[in-house]
Amino acid sequence: MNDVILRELEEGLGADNLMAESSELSAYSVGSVSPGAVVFPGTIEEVAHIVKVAAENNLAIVVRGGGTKMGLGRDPERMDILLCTSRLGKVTDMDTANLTVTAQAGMRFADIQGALAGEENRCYLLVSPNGREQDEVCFEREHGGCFVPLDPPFPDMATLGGIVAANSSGPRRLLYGTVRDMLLGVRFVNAEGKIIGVGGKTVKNVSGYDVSRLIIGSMGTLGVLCEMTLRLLPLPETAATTVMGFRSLDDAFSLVDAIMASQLTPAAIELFGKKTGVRLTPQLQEIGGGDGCFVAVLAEGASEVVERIGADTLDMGARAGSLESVILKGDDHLSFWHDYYQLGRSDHGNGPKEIVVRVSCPISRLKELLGKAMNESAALGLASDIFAHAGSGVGRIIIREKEEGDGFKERVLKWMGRLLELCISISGNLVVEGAAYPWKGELPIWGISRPEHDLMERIKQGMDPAGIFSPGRYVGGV
Amino acid sequence: MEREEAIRKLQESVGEENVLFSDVDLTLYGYDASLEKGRADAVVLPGSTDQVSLVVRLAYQEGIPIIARGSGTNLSGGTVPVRGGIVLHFSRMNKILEVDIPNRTVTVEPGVITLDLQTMLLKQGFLYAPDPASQKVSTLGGNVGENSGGPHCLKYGVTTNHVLGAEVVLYDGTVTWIGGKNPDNPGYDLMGLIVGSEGTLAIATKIILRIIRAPEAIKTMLAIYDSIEDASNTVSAIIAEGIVPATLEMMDHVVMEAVEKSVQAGYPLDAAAVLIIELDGLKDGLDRQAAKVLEICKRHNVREIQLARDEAERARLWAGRKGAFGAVTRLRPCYMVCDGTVPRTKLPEVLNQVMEVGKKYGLLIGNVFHAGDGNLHPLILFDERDEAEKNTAMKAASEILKICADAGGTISGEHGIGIEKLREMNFIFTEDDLETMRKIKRAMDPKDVLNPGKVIPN
Repeated sequence: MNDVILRELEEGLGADNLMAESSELSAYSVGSVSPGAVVFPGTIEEVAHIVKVAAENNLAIVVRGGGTKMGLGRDPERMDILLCTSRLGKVTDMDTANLTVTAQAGMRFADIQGALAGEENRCYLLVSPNGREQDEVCFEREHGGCFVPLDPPFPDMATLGGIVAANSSGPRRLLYGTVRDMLLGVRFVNAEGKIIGVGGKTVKNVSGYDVSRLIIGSMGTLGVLCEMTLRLLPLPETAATTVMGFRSLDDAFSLVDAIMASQLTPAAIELFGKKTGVRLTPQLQEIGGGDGCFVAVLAEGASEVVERIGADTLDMGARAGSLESVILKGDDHLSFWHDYYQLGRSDHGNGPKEIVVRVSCPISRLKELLGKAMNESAALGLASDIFAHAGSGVGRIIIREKEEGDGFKERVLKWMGRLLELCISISGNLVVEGAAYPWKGELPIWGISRPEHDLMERIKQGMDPAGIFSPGRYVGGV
Repeated sequence: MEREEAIRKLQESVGEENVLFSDVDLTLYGYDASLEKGRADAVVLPGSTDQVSLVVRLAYQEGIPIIARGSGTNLSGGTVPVRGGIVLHFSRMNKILEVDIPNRTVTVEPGVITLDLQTMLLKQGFLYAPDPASQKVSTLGGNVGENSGGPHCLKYGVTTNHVLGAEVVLYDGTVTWIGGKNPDNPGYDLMGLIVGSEGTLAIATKIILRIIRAPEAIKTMLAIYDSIEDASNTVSAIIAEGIVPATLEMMDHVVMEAVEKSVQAGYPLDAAAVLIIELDGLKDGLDRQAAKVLEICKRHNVREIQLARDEAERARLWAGRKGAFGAVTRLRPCYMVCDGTVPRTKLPEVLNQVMEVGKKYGLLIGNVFHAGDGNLHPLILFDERDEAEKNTAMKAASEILKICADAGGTISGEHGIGIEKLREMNFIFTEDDLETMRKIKRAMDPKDVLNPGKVIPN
């Protein structure tokens, strides 16, 4: 990158927050592309300055948060500037009485949850008849913390901005929904380097177009997401997880179907393969058969509700033919989920490489999708594992091989082709979330082309006509 | 193209009997539930997606405005044909096309009445959760266009949280699908963008909605207060205690008085405010939660609490709330409803300021609103025939929206911007923010034929 531009960037940021030595840059590559410079803005105004410089010089910007999603998507066509949000890590408004939090993009998800859980001040100000707030805040209640009702993978690493930009979700989407149900407002920097604010702090808001929702899942292609306001919920009184082992996918899904047909309100129904299950629940070891799999049912809320869901799940599980079961509470429950949120992490470094594919389909077709995908992989001699949000129609299939073996790439491509056909046949779709292979570009990274793609192109063209934001990385080269 | 020729072409597209253009028809379709009025050049009643597409294509080619409309319950002038053109009225596209229980979806045409769907689903133990007060007449297409709310949105979310996909007709008549039963397609959330865009970005012709299991148990309570502050403090306290009820609705004495005269819901006439509090979920633990709510109410000086013992009593407690907007016209012939929304804890302060505005202009203001999510509905009462009073009412309404914006809230929670609140958009948005919205509008409707003149000020 030329010195004039670097000086311009440096003027707005300070030399400490700009990196341009080629020896340092390679650590920040996205796929096979290395950035021309890495910047670490500390304020939204600094982000705006960077984008302005980029816009004037037609430089492409890719954004990086915690780095958990850098394997997602195609390699960018250009990446002059990699913008790291690590210094945008502040909570700017914690309004627990209104159940909202506003935080900057670079804040790690676990840190937000930690801060909210420990917040002893879900407080409201009493108001006297003259409409003035009294000096003394209410004091007589039992206080409890709050949480953002989202549970994306890798919460220790993933940042808020990345979670919103990639529309990450997790097991508890069954009860609480996804980012689109939680995001109330955003501030982002547009392609002209202007700071744009949309939405607000209220759950109901129909003032103007819902631009916040457009930003969700836009993968940094419409602007640089800087700050967002999310809905909170009070922490549940208690929680417990019932884990059950089954002989087959069929048996496991009969439990899933029974729960879904009931009036129970579990927070999550997760289904996962035997290898994963044995690792996560050492309490269950007796499960037999190669096709065995596990179901974990998470209940959260009032203690009576948690008891009821646990008890009913055990009954339904027994009728579905469960081989073993255990109810996890307290530390066992926490440690189970702690490990669960690390599943599918493909940046282990020295571990075996993995190909992680997220599949989704109408809820009732998930059994067929997962079953056939596993059969196909077995037939091609590929070792696979699954874990799925079984009540939501979303799952992940992981191909994990210690040794790549003969014709590994060809077998993977063949399998992926069959998976794609399968998805088409059941109105599903897939996204390759991780595949650290040089031939990643040959995979259908963003799945099936959608009828609304043309509209997406139009919006992109309207909001980023010069294509400076993450060019080529997202669906259909957007 | 001459008007006669355009009408002939429309008749060819949808059948002669489905194009209305008499004086009476054009007057009838020239207004909605707001105070705004306009006049269409023709009203078209399409019977299929293909017909909608043909009409939109014609409108695009000829540069004629096209306004999609359901039952016209819109409160912000969103369906008023301010620049003339074609009103597309969806009354004939009113079929529930599919109920897909295993996938938790229904597919409907836009003209289906909200309550008709809900009643049908409830018989099978399912809910379509958003429940705008106008649900008896409002259409699902209209709900999608406006991103309608309702009392139960506190727990269940607004319309957009329940729309999974739609078949839409774009500005040039192209038909495409957006979203669908698959929960997780990669790509921009275009469905989220279109919901609440008031018919300015696309016209939905089929809609896939999410349905949920009806709760096992419901507890409905009516809490009566001698002071509006106590009622407001109760709202904040319930949330602070970690309880998120299905609804938390408030009415002040002005509205209660009107309601009592009209439906006799059993509200005391000398009270300052009532709260309707509804808890739902599994039956386990619900009694304990209700007891906690009662205790919170008592702590905040509640005068009396009624707990509905059965569905009939529940219906009675709700009757007053659902009929409130209609009932206030007993006090004065017209009302203007402000839809400002504020962070919940600002409610008492903002309510006081609203009443001050009423005093300042000598206008009677009643309050009936979704307290749990801070969504105010001050009803400014006046007589439309008195031009001076009407103008005063509009001035007061704008002032109230400013108060909401200044309290960290917004100018519309669930009724939309339409034309009524265009002038107030700059209370909450900068010119750059608005330009972002204009870019989106230009991208999706380059010739400005879809409901022009709405949502974004020029």
